[in-house]
Amino acid sequence: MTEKVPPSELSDNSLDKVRELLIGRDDKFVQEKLNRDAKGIVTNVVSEALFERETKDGSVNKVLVPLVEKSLHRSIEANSDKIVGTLYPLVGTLVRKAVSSFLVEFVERTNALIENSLSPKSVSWRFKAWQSGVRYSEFVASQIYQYQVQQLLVIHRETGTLLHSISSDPEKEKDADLISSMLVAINDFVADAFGVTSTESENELGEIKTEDFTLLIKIGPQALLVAAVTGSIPPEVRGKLQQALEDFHQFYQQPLLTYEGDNAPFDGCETILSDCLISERKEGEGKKSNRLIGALVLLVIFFALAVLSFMRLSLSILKSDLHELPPPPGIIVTDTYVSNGNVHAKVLRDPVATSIEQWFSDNNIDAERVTVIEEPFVSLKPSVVERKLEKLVSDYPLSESESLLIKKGDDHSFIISGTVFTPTAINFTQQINAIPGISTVNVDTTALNVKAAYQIDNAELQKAALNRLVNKVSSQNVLFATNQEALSEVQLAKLEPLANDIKQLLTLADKTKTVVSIVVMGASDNSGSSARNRALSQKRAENVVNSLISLGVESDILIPVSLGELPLQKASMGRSVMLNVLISSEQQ
Amino acid sequence: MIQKKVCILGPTGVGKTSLIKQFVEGIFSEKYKTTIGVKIDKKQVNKDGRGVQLLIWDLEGIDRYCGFNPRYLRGASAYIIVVDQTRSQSLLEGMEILELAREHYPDIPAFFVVNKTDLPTSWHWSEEELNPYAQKFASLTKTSAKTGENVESLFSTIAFW
Repeated sequence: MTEKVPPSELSDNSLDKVRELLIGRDDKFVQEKLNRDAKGIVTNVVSEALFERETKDGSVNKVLVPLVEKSLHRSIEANSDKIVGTLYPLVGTLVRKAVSSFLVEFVERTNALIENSLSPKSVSWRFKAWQSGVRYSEFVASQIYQYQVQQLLVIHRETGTLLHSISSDPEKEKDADLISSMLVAINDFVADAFGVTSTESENELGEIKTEDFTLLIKIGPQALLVAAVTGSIPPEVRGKLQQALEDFHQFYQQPLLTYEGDNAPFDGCETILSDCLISERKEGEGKKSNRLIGALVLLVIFFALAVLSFMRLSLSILKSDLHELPPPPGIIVTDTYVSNGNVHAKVLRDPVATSIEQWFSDNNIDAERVTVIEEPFVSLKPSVVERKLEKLVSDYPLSESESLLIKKGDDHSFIISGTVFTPTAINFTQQINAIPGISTVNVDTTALNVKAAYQIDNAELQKAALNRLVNKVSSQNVLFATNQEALSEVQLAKLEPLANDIKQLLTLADKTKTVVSIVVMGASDNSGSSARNRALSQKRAENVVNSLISLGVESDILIPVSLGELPLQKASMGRSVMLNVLISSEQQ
Repeated sequence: MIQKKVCILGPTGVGKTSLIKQFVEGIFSEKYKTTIGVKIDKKQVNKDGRGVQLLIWDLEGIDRYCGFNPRYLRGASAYIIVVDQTRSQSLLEGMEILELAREHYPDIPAFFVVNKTDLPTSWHWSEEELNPYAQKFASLTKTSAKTGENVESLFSTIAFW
């Protein structure tokens, strides 16, 4: 019986045979074919293949880079001239551009630096920077640069259409809708081009920065908030934008969900957005207002100084005027100085000199601006003495019948004339001599007529004198010894002054038309008989009367009267003669 | 104001940019500058007292080496696929693009535009052969960016679709 060969083995064998026929042993035919047309085949597909491979895993680039480098190397070595020639025009332009932009930046920075280095502000900034551990240049940057949110756009995320925009400058709002579409397009592009993972949100735009401004892009579920900001933005602004976006989504949730392209419902979000349209002009305006304030302060200070100095000056002028002014006689200015906004003057003034106010007003000096410290003194200047003399004469209290005149002679001599009573004359002379410095003046009083003081013609005076005399005489009494009736020598002597008084009294009575009677009363003590005493008293009275008459007194006015015995406690007192004057005016 | 996003797609060189330029600015230039990325224009159309602002996204021409980023179509209220009646291949490419777009955004209406009607029709598609393709779209419009034929009406239709 034949062994059955498994069909697979059989087929395997035959397949191998077929293979050998077709493609040659060890694929000989295929290889030959390939070798013949290799170049052609590859040429046809090389570009696409490279492209496809590159797109697939980017390995082509990786392989090519070192090759290109090497060839570039060799090319430069071999044909440096050519390369230089090619690059030369480019390089020139590049270098120029780079240098110019560098210079501009450098100059600006230097300007800013100089501005900030040579000012007290810069010192404080350095300190603050050191304090907060920040580099000075960074600190300066944060301080100087203002920021301003120029424009805000709210964009529908899906369609890229503009929901609402607000701008600090209305001019810029014109193409906001185009901008929003472009932004969304760029965003799509970026997300697609740089998307490593498939999640969209991770690769969306956050910020677009240029030299002048930055676009901050905050992305929400249905809408984007884009802020165009100039300057360096502090973190608070970003936070504000985020908040505004969230608020927008909250308030406009419904319109967002039903959005079909109509942005009218979103007009109300102006308020949310305007909160974000903030700008902070830091040192710019601050500087301006600071400068303004500084200038104002300086101006005020300057003005104040000017006013003060002007005041000072005027006071100095006043002081020197005062100083140079010749004072009138009797005034001495000892010191002038300026103090407390006023001119002070220390002055010695004789009481008879002109008043200080008068002196000032005569010389056009404003008395209100001068504080005068006045001290009294006695001046010996001749003119002052003369004035005192004249004053003495003119002010002297005189009675009716007196007169005083003063006449100035030449060479400081004065002649006093007039009529005065003796006491007045004495007093007056005393006062003249009391004038200090009177010795420098020649005073001639010889022409002064001095008359007796008691030539009293005045009726009142006479009457007073009369009464006085009346009282005086009435109080007189002559004392006798026991049984004595004649007057002794002593008693007679005593009667003399009495007689004079009586005579004077009578003269006065005459002048004043007064009738006088003098009762002379004799009396005795009560020893002995009453009759004897009576006769004794009479005798005594008569003796006194006779004595008075012998002394020159008129007899008819004397009336002797006997009083008789006087029962007095002291008996000896009774032995006397008393007088009593009785007067009456003629009219009575 | 109502705003609508409209995208224009199509193979390269069919006249997308020229169409937009004709519509927005009213001018036509023979010079050809290929669009890279996307360019956006706006124009307001009015009808019966209603105004609609169209934001037209002019996408770069799509070919095998320059892929098509479907994200651009997001949120569009319509898109236009333009083909060139002087190049047969452009129709097929246009259809490919339609498929791609439909894949990502099946709900957005697509408009079919055959441009360059001012030039003699030199593609080998007849009207009947065109129909099945046209059926896939919301509408078919034959335009010339050079003469401005149907350009206004195209966009007007789209705006008030």
